[in-house]
Amino acid sequence: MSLEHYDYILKQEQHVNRMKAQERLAIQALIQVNKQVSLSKGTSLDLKLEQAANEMKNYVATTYVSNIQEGFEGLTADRAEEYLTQDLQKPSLESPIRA
Amino acid sequence: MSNNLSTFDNPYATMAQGAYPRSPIQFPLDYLDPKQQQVINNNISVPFDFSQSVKVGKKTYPGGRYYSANPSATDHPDWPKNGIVYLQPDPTLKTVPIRTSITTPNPNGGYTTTNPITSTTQKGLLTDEPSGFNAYFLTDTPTLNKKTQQTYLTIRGSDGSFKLTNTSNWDDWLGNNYIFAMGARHVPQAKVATPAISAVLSKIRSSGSSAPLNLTGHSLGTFVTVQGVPGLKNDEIDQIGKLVLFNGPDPTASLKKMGLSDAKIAKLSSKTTYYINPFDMVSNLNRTKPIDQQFGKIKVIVPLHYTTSFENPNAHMFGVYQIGANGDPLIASANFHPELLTASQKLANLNQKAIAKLRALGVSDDLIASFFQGDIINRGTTGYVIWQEYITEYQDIIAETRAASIKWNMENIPKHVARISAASGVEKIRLRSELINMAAQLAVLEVEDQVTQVNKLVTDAKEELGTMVRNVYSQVCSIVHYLPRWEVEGLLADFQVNTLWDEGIEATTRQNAQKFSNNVTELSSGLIQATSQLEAVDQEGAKLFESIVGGF
Repeated sequence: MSLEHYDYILKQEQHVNRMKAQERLAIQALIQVNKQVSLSKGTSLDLKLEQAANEMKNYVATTYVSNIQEGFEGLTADRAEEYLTQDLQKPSLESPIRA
Repeated sequence: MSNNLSTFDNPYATMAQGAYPRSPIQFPLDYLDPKQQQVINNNISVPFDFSQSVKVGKKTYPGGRYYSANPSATDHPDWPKNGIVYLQPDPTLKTVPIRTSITTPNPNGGYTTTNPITSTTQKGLLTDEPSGFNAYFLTDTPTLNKKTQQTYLTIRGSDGSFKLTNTSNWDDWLGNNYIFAMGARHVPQAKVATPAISAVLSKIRSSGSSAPLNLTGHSLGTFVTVQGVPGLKNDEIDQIGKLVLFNGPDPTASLKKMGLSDAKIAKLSSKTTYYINPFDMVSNLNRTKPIDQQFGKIKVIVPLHYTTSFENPNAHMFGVYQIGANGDPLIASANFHPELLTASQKLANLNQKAIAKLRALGVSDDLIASFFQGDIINRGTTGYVIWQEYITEYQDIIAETRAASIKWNMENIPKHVARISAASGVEKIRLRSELINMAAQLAVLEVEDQVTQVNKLVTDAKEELGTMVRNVYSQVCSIVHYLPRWEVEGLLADFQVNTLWDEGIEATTRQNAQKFSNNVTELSSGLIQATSQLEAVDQEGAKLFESIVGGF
């Protein structure tokens, strides 16, 4: 192998390695950016699910209680309200997107 | 969710349901407890106390209030005051051997025919296993005598759902339901019902009691009842009190085919009440005419759930019935949930359209000719398309009505509250009971929608994540020219849907939302049950409510 040829191969390898390194960096950056997007989707989903859980609980504790108010009297009304406002817990809704 | 009635407040619904095995309180002899079986096998009646609560699994079915020591204006008139009915024994019931003729060749020529017993069947006055007929005779006194004031005959409907692989209910489904639906025929079980009803009426007369016989049934039991009565003598028909029927089709065409005069049909019609679910395909069969022109008095119920006859809770069963303050099922009218009357009419038209299409395809009440002759594959494919179109339109009717009912409830709850303030006495109790039913139904439907919304949020997010991962892979493919495949896969190893998405959390979130909805449904059932106590001592109502929802 001539010196020129050896030099050529070396430069080629260096070029390939540089390109590989660039590709690695590009992929890692792409993943990193999209992981951030995924994270933000997770946060957004968590907020939406929290809002949905609150709406479910609020509907039962406020609207439902108000709707039945004239239907029952005295102790029955008290017990029904207690069940709807206190005993029935807000559902635990969590985003399945991992950080 | 339960497919059973939530209370025992309505006598007919309770007894029609009790004719089925595995109901909270049931009459079929094979399902009685050993002690009850011993009693009835000795020809002594078995008492059923519907004033007492029954617990099945975690579910409590509260005893009715209509048999209290303090009768009131809203007591259901057709329950015995103590809430106890007595299942009368059928002394004629016996196991009959079935013989099969077998012919075998003799070694020396000729043939020998034998008739060995190959199986057995149950036959009696109120039981005919070969045709699938089962009925139960109940009274308000332990023995039938001149003091007996209330008598009932409940006729069982179809056993379970039709399954091609389960031959045990073919007699109900193919031998009776199918030929009625496709040919308006006089069904075999009704031919057995006529002598059975006649014999029960004869027993009542000979006991010295002047009590009328009230008949009830569900599904197949409705047309077995209605077709069973016309064969009776006129004085026997006069002995019949009421026919109270649930989730059954209109039988007019079949009665005309049986040769009944318009006058006789009108006479039977005047004794009959049908409760039908607007979303049940069976209830709305043959019901394209306006309801005031159909056989009997038609009452379209206000169901708690808006489902098809193929879902759970099932529109064909009793679990979606709401019982009002007067002990009768809550019904729709021009002033109360009118959209349900429209839904019933739409489903009746859809049923009729589907049957017309099937008839055009060559399907008739002749089972063999319908399914085992001609181009089976081509007709089967067309039949499948008809079925798919039917299901789609069926679901559309329910979805449209559901939205209309939510709107109706929202608009009318405030109006009902205003009416309650101005009302008094029995009217006030009725309005309060209706308000609870409206609020309970609205809550069930609204929370179901909220759960659907939660599931959609989760499904959409998962799909978005999948799209994102696929896009990244696609971009990586366009970037990479030098890196080996194994290294690219290594870099992307932790960027996949299953590493970014926790299936366990997804399942838990969906389950938690559904559990909340189930709890609201149970609470709502509890509230509806508690309306039966509206005029009782308030403290009793609170105790009842607590016993129902205490498990939360």
